Amino acid sequence: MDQRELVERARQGDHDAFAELAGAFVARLDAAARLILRDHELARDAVQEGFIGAWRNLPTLRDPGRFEAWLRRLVVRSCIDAVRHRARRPIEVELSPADGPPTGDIASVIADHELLDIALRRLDPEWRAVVVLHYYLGLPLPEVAATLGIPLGTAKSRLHRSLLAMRIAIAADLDPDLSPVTRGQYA
Amino acid sequence: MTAFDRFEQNLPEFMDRLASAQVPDYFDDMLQRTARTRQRPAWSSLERWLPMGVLARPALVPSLPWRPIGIVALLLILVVVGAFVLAGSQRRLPPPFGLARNGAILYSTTDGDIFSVDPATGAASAIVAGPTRDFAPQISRDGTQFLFLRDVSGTTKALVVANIDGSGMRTLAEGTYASELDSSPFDWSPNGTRIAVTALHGGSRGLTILATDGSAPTTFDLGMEVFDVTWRPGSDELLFRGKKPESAETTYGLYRVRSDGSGLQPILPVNTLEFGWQTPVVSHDGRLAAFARWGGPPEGINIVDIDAGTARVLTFPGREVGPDQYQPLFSPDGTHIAFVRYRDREYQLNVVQLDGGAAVPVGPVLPESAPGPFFNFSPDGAVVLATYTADGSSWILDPGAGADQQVTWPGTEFQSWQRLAP
Repeated sequence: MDQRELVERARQGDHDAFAELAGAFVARLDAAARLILRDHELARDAVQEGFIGAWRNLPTLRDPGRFEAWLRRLVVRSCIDAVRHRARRPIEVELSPADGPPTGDIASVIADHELLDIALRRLDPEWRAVVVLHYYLGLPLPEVAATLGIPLGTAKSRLHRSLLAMRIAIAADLDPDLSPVTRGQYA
Repeated sequence: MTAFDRFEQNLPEFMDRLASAQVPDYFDDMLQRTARTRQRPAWSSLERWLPMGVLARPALVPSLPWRPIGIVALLLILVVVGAFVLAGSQRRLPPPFGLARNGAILYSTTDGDIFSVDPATGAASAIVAGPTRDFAPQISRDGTQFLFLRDVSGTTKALVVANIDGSGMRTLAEGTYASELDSSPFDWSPNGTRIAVTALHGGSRGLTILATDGSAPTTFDLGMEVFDVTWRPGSDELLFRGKKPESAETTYGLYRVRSDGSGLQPILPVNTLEFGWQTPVVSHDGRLAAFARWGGPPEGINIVDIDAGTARVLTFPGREVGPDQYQPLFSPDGTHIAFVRYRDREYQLNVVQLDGGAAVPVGPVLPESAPGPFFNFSPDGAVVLATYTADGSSWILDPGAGADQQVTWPGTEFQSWQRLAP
């Protein structure tokens, strides 16, 4: 059964069809939520909220062909809402175990891994969402903008500034003697 | 290669490792929760499917003498049609570029309908309504027609053209348009007979020119991906931002090409800056182009003399050095530029004279976490219509001495202002 047919059936209340659809997308969206929120619990809540919202509102989806983009939008916006509405508790960073054996120079891979984590953590979650959608989910920037409900110019600006901030964070980590640099400006 | 370089190249792979994609342990629990959740009935969003006129129809209608009413109505229609024909034959059209008189504003709603509103009174009426999702109206330069997008399925959309009152709808093309939110995926030709489109062809974004009379479209293989296409006033040329994969690296540039696909050339030397040629626009006389550059010198709003191939940075007192200005837009008379300015972790629209002077901030100040505005000058150049998607508000902003005014109609970011003869 193809995806469109599954969506049509799920729209008519077939929960098994919805379960099959959910199974196809949940792993990637859960990982994206963890990257955006850097908090396992918040990510779990956001993903669940997104999927429950998808099930509840599925009959009102106009075009079954838009299901994947629609579901992604619901989950990502749940992530953004989670950031905006969360209690003022510190976010605990959780590192998932790496998939499979690293290739090449193990020490440098671990170092890169840590650098990435440090650089990502220093971004605001809404900026991190742009990086995750573009680099992790592989969405072109116009689709990133549509998913987040922001203008394309803002998506571009955020991606550009995020990369700048990450580069600065990495440079500072590689050489702690570097003077601090204001976000968005070159050293 | 340093870890620094390696980091950006391998970002997707590193992120894959940082958050491995596995079915989460709460998946079954989540499905149990959805199984216990009732779905919204489809009819609960009835207003999305039926035009409001249908919903608002009175339930009880008293018996009336329909025959005489029908005859009178027919006569009235004939009189009105006759008046329109007479008015139409005498209508003056605005020149395709430069200053014009302000007409109606077309906007699309979140429900996927298109309305026409008189900005002076706020009186609005639906001109495209129904079960389809229709959005992104864009009025032709002479103000007599508009195009809009219609969701067909998935990422496939139809490009539809209609007369300014919504009559005479005809689908010109169906295809995969890259974005609903792209600032300039389409551009009307000066005489309104053609539309330049950037659309996906086999995964790559190319240039197609559609004819509004329904004759066959022309797609050009320019050897690169095409973005932000815009017609150049006073010529048969189009300008666009190009992305060209080379053997060693990808280059980006601002290009010009004639509408028959000939004469392709970069306006300035190309480079490898992905964000080096953002949102190019052309002045009303076709002499200048403006774009935003980040990631390499000279950063800021760049102003280009198209024929001379020379560029300068737009300067004003207090200008920040860095990627802090973007989305330039010429006023209809070419004397001012509006742009988004980033300062102290906040965004705000600014308007500055092209030949110098202070940048005038207008409209709401946005925190950096908020989306930036969509905006355009009014046809008479006096005000700026801006939409802020963070709270859904739209404003008419006066860079002069006048007061800013929040509009009453529920327009989304897709709004287009009709140009009328001065």
